[in-house]
Amino acid sequence: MEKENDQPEVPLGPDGKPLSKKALKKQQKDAEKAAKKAQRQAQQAAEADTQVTEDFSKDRYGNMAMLQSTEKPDRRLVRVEELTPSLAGETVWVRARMHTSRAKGKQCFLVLRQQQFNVQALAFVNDKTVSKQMVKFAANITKESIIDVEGVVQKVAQPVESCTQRDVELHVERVFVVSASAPQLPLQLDDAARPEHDEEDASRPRVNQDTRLDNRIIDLRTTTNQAVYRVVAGVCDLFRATLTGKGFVEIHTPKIISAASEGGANVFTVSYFKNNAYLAQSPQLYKQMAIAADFEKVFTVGAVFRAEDSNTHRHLTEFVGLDLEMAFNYHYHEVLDVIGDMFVHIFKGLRDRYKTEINTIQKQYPSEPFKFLEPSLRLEFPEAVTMLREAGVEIGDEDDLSTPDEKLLGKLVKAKYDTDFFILDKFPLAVRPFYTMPDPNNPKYANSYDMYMRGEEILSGAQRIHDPEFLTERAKAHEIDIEKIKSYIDSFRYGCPPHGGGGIGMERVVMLYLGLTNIRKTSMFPRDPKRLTP
Amino acid sequence: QAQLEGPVRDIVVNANPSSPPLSLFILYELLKQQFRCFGSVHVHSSVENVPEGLCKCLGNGIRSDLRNRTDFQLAITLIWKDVKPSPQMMMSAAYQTPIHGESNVARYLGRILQPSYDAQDPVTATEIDTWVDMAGTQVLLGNNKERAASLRSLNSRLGKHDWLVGSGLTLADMVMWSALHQTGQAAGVPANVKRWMQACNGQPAFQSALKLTQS
Repeated sequence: MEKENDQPEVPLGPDGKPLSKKALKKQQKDAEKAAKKAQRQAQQAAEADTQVTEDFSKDRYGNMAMLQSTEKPDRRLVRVEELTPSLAGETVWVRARMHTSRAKGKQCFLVLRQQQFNVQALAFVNDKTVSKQMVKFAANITKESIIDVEGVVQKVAQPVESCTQRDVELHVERVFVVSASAPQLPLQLDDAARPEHDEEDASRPRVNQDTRLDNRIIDLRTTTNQAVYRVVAGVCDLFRATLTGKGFVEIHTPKIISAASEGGANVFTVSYFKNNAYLAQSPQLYKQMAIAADFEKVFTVGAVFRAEDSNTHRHLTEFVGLDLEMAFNYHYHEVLDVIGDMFVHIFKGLRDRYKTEINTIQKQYPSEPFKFLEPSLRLEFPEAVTMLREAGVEIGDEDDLSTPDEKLLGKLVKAKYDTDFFILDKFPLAVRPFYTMPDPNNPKYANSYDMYMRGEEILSGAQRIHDPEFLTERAKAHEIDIEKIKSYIDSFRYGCPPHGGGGIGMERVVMLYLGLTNIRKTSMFPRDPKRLTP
Repeated sequence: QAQLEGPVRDIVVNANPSSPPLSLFILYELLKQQFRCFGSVHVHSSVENVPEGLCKCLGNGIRSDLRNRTDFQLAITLIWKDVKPSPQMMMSAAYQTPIHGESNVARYLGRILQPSYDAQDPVTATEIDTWVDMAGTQVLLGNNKERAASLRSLNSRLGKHDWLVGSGLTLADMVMWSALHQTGQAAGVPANVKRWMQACNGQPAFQSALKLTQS
C-alpha cells in the first residue's frame, strides 16, 4: 500500500523529460495525500489491534450467509409501519433497507426503510452488547442493503420529523446484512424524492426523467413511487369492483390480431409464422363481438398498443386499457350514466381509501386536489363551441377540438362548474369513426362522447352501429374497403342488441387524477418510441 | 318575451346544502312557465352526505322526452358545494367573476323573467331592490339585532299592504320569504308577516320550495 515518497532530485516525468512546474506541484500534492492516507491507515490498524481482543459482540453482527432456505427460525419480522409507541420497551426483529447511516463517535444513526415507511435506528457503544466494532460495522453497511435488525423500541422525547414513524426509534442490539448493495448507486433516493419545483432547495441535485427510467428499480423505491403504484392498483381495483357490482363480466381478448381495426398506419406489425399479424390498438372489435354473443355488459383490462411516433408527455406505445361495452335498452345515455357513475366511484374510492398515498405524492408533486361532481357534469358539443367562441377561439360547428382547445375548455368548465371531470356529448359525426351512430334529430351530430380530466381527454366512446346494412353504408361513406372489415360487419348479421361503450387509459387517469405532468410517472416500465428498456 | 341566444344558457348556482337558497326554486318554477327550461342538481366533491331531498330538488332525471340539452333555452345547474357564507352564481367563465349572494342571484333571474325590470318603472324597481337588499344583508347575513329590526319594518309594511311592493307578488316577497325560512324565523313571526307568509305559501310557484322547508 505504501507509496514511494522520496522524490528524485531532478524530477522526471514518465517520458524521462523534466516535469513542468504544474505537474511538479501535482506530484507533490499526491505524495502528501498518500502520506496522510498511510498515516491514517496505520492509526486505524493500531486501534483495531488493541480492540480485537475486546470485541464481545462478535456474534451480534455480520454478513449473513446467502439465504438458501436452510432454516426456518421462529422469528417474527415486524413491519416498520407497526413500530409505534404501543410497542415501546419490546425487543423486535425488523427486515428493512438501509436508507442512510450516519456515524458520530461512539454511536451511529440509521434510517431503516420499508416501502413507504421509515424509522430511525440507533446503535451506540455500551459495555455488554454493542461494541465499537459493531457500531463501525453498522456505519459501513452500504446504502440500500437489506438488513435484519434486532432492537428495542423506544419512545422518543422529540418527534423524529424526517421519518414516518415519528414517535419511536429502534435501539439496535443485533444487525446482519441479508443482501448487500453495491457501494455506488446510480442515483440517490433522496435526490429522486426531492420536490421538482422547490425554490428553497433549487441548488440541490435532482434526478432527471431519463436517469430515473434507466435505473427504474431504484427509482421505484422512493416513497412517492411506492404510493403512485398503489394508486394505480387502486384505479384498476375500483374499476373492476364498480363494474362487477353493476353486473359486468370481465373478458380477455387477444392482442395478436389479423387486421388493423381502424386504419393501418398506427399498428405494430409482427411476423406470425409465414404471415404478418398486428398488435391490437384496442379491444373494440372483441368487446362488440362479446355483446353480439349475448354477454350484455363486458369489460376488459389489458395491454393496448399504439405505433404512433409521438413523443409527448401523454403518449405511450404500450399502455393498459380499461375498456367497457354494454348493451342498453332504449337510449345510449343509459351507457353514459353507467360510465359517469363509474368515474364518480373511482374518484370517491381514491379520495377515501388512498388518502395517505395521495398526501405522500403531493409532497413531491404538489397539485390541486381533484374535484368532481356527482352525478358527473354532462355538456353537449354545441355548448362547448359556444364557450370556446366566447373566450375568443375561432372554431367551426363541426370542427374537432384541438388539444389546446380541449385544455382551454377544461379551464372554462373548471371556472364555471368547478369540476376537473366532465362529459362532452354529441360530437360532430364527421370527426368520429365509421361505426359511430348518428344523432336521430340532427344528422350533423353523433351519439358520441368524450370525457375529460383536468382538460385532457381520457375516454372516447359512442353508441355503435349494430345494424349490418347501415354499418356497411357508413363504412362506404368513410371509403373503407368493405372486404377488409367483412368479419366485423358479419358479426352483427345474426341479431345484435344496441350497445355503446368506451375505453380509458389507466396511466392517463392516474396521471391526471394526481395532477402529474408526465405519463411515464404512472407507467412502471414505460414504452415509448425511444424506450424499450428496462 | 326575452330572447335567449346560443344553444342553451346554463346558469350555475353553487350553494351550501346547510342553507338551501329557497328563492331559487321559486324563480325556477316561474322560469319554467316562460322558457324551455330544465334543472339539474349535482353534489360537489367538497361536501358529503347531502340529504336525498336536496339531490332531487330540481326534479332532474325526469327529462323523459330525452331531448338534447341544446334543445332547451335555459338550464339551471345547482351544485351543492362547500361555499361560504352565501351562494355563488356563474354564467360565463369568459366574461364574469362569480356573483355572490342569494339576493343577487335572484335579481339576475328576475331580470331574465322580466327584461324591462329596470326600465319600465324605476320607482317600483328601486323599492323591490330595497327589500331584496334587506333580505340579503340584514336577514340572511345579519345579526339578531338586525334581524329583529327588519322583522319590525316588514310587519309595519304588511299592516297596510298585502304584498311587500305594489299589488302583487314580486321578487321582494320571494327573497324575503326565503330568508325568513333559512334563518329559522318563519315560525315565530308577528301577525301581519304570518298572514303574508301564508299568502306566499298558497302561490303555486312556492310549492317546491315549501316542500324543501318541510323535509
